Amino acid sequence: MGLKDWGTQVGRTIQGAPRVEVEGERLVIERHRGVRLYSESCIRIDCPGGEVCIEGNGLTLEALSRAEVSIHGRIDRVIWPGGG
Amino acid sequence: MLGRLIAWSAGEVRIQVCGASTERFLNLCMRGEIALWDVVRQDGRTLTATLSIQDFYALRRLMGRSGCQVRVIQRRGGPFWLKKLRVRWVLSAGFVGVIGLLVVLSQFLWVLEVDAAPGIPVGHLREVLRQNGVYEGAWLRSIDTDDVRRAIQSEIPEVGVIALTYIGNALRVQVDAAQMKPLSIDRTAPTGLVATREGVISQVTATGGQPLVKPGDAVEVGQLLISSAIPNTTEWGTPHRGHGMGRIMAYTRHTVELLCPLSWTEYQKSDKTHNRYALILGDRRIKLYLGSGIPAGSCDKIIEKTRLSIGSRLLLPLTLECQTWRETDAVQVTGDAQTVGEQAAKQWLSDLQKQIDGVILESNWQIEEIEGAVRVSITAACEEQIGAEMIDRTPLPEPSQPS
Repeated sequence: MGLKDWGTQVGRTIQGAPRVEVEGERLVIERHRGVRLYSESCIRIDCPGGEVCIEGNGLTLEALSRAEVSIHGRIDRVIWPGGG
Repeated sequence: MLGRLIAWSAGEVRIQVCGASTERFLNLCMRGEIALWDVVRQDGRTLTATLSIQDFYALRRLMGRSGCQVRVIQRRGGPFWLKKLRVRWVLSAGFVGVIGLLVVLSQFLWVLEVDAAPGIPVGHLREVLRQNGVYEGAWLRSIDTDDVRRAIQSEIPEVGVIALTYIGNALRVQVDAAQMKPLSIDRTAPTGLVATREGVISQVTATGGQPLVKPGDAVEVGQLLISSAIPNTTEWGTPHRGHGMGRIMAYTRHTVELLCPLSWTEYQKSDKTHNRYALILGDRRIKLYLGSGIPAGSCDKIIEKTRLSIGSRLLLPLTLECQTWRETDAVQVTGDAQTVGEQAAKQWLSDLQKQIDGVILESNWQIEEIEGAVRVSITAACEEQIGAEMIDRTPLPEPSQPS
């Protein structure tokens, strides 16, 4: 394990894995690190374990704070690290 | 919803962010503990977002690093609204005045609803309520519901359960009738059973007292069927009084003569309706139509009252009354003697079955037409309970002497 991977692992242990919650047309991600890409059809959120990608239509950032990010719109697909 | 209201009260700013990397701007805000909401992408270089006033001031120190231009497109919320109102002082005073008036008026009773059970004198009840300070326009804090309840109970003996319920500035008084105890003869009193109808006894079931009749006996109205005087049953016993009770079934006969008309008027509803409106303000009724409220021809009058209110709790002393007059056509109906007579006979037998404690064994009727009417003579043979309890003062038999 390299130093970078070790650092990532420590950071992930301290911050915890991202928590993704979907309710109807709303998706909430907790423990995120920022927005990498924001468009109406795709939003990429930087998370401790990697990048969570939300694909859909008419996506908007309903709320953005250090604690969580809330996305609203028609969500077609959510891709998260280690998932599909 | 509550969160949005609080945010609006504290004041919020809608901004437009324009630059090559708007994502960088979003991340800077996030790291700077600036909360954004309603972030909408306008095009590849522009987005709009909302933030609080405090965060907007905090945002200014981050602007140099984001590489984006920020423009305020809307200011909204409590502080901005108050700033506008400071200039329009008449409007402000009016607003405060209306709020104050609402607060003052909500301290008074505007609507008094009385819901009394049948048999309760509503006029007397309203008078008692008025004497105890419960009337439209009374100060709500001066009403002591316990005192009012006690006053109603002492003034109106027919009253049972009383419920006084406040709904905003309305008071609903619900009064139930007292449960009257059924009249009953003391179980220890010397009672007997007497016949309420004449007939022939079919069955005697005595659960107390001394039966004086047996199946097959003919009895008359008022005849003692079970006596309270019980003779001695043992050689050395003495006669004593008991509580005579039981069921005495007898074959009885009911006869009646009915006279029914052969033609009558029936009112049939038509499709013609008229609506009339009126406003009821306290005790006053303001007509919103011309003419009289009494219908000229024959018609059904349906009155629907709608209480005007602000929300569900603030009732206004204003009621909108809608009268719907539906015209009816008077139609002369004529029946034939046989049908009218049979219907009358069947109705009478149905009523008789409800009245008696027994069954109708057989019935027959004769129909006779006389000058536009029909005479129906009905006879019904029944088996029914004819015993009724009453105080028995029959003297006790002499005690038997030992031989």
